[in-house]
Amino acid sequence: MQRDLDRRLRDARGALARPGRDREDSAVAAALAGRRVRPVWRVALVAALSVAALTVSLGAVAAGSSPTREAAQPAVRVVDRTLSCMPGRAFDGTGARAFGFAVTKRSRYSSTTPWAPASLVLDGASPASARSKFVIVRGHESPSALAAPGLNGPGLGGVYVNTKSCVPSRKSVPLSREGLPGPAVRYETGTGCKSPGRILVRVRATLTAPARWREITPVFSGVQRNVTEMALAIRVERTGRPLLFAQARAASVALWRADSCR
Amino acid sequence: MLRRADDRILIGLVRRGSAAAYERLFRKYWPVAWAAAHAVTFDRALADDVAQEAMERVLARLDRFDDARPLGPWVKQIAVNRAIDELRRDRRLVRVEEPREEGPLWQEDAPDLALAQAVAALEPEKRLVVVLHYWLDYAVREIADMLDLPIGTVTSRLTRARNELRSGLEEREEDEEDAA
Repeated sequence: MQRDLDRRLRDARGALARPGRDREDSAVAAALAGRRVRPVWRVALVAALSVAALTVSLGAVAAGSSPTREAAQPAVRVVDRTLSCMPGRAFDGTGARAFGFAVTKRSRYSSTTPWAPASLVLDGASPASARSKFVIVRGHESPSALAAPGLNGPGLGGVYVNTKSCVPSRKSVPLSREGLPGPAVRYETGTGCKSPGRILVRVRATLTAPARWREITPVFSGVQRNVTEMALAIRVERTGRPLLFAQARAASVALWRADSCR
Repeated sequence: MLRRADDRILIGLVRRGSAAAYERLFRKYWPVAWAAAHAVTFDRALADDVAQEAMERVLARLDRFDDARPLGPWVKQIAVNRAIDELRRDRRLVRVEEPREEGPLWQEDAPDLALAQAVAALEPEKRLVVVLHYWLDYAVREIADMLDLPIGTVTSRLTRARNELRSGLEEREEDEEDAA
C-alpha cells in the first residue's frame, strides 16, 4: 500500500494545469522590454559564428512570433475591455514593476471641430517607445503622435491595446475611484506607479460611431474612431488593490491614484 | 546531450546580448518555472508572476551559471524558492478583493485527479512538503534546507500527510465498492 501510494502520488502531478500560452507571450514581452539589448551588429556577428542550424532555428522562432489573429468582430459604439499586463521592472532594486500613465486634457483638432478629451496613455516599460505602450486612447487625430508613430503608437482617434504585452482577462475591475484617496487630480495628470506584479487594466471608451475591433499594427489591436468619453482603472492583479482610476469627457479630466503613485 | 549543447550555445548568445536567444531560453524554460510555481502555490495568477520573476532572475544571473550543468533544475529551484517566498509573504497580505481564478487548475481527464485534488486540500504546511517531494522530486534533506526546518519535522509532515491521503483513498474506494 505504501509503495502504491507513493507511485500514485507521483503520477498525480499529471493532473496539474498547464501554463497559458498567452501569459507566456506577455511574460516574454515584459522581460524583453525591461532588458537592455546590445547593438544588433554585435549579436549578428556572434550568431554567425555559432552553429548554423541553431542560427536558422532562432530565425524561425523570430519569424513565428506573430501577433494573435483576432476573429472578425461586430461593430460597437462602446469599447469595454479588461486586460492583464506585466509592466517592466522598476530600476529601484526591489523587484517591483513600474508603469507610467497620462491623461491629457480636452483639445480640438481644429477651430471648427468640437472639444474632445485628447488622450489617455498607459506606458508599461522603459525606455518609452510605441511598443512599451499598453493602452492608448485618443479622442481624435494627434498630429504630434502621427509625426512619430515609433515613439507614440497609433496617432488617429481610437482605442489601441498592445497585444504583445497584454492579454484579455475575465476578472472584474470596477470603473470607479473606490479605494483611492481624493480629491481627484485635475491639472497635473501624469503619474508613475509601482505594482508588485501583473496589473489588471480595464478601459472603456464611447466612440462617435460604431467600429470593428481589428489588428491595427503588428503590436496594437483596437478600433479606429474618434472617442467622446474614456475611462480606465488599474488594479494589482493578485490582490485586487486599486492603483489608479481616470476618466475624461469633453469638458473635464480627473485622475485618482493610490498613495504609491506619484 | 544535444539539448544541453543547445542550451550552452543559447547561454553564450544571451551573455553576448542576443535578444533572440534570450527569448528562446525564456520560452523553453517558462513551462518549467510555471509548473513549479503553480504546484507550490495552486494559484494561476501567482504562478504567472513567480514564473516571470524566476525566469528574469535566471537570465540575469546567467553570467554566474556553470553551463556544464543542466539549466532546468536551476530554473526549477529558483521558481520554487520564489514561490515559497510568495506564500510566506501572502500570509501577511490582506486581500482587498479575492480575485477570481482564471483558467482551470486541473487536467480534468487525468487518471489520478481525485488524489491530486486531495493533495490540494491538505493543510498548507503538509501540502507543501508533499508537492516538493512527490511532484517536484526533492529529497527530504533538500526540502528541510529550503524550508529551514529540521529533517524530522519534514519527515513527520510527510508521514501525516500520507496517512491522511491513504485514509481518504480507502474511504473513497469503499464508497465506490458500495456504489457498485
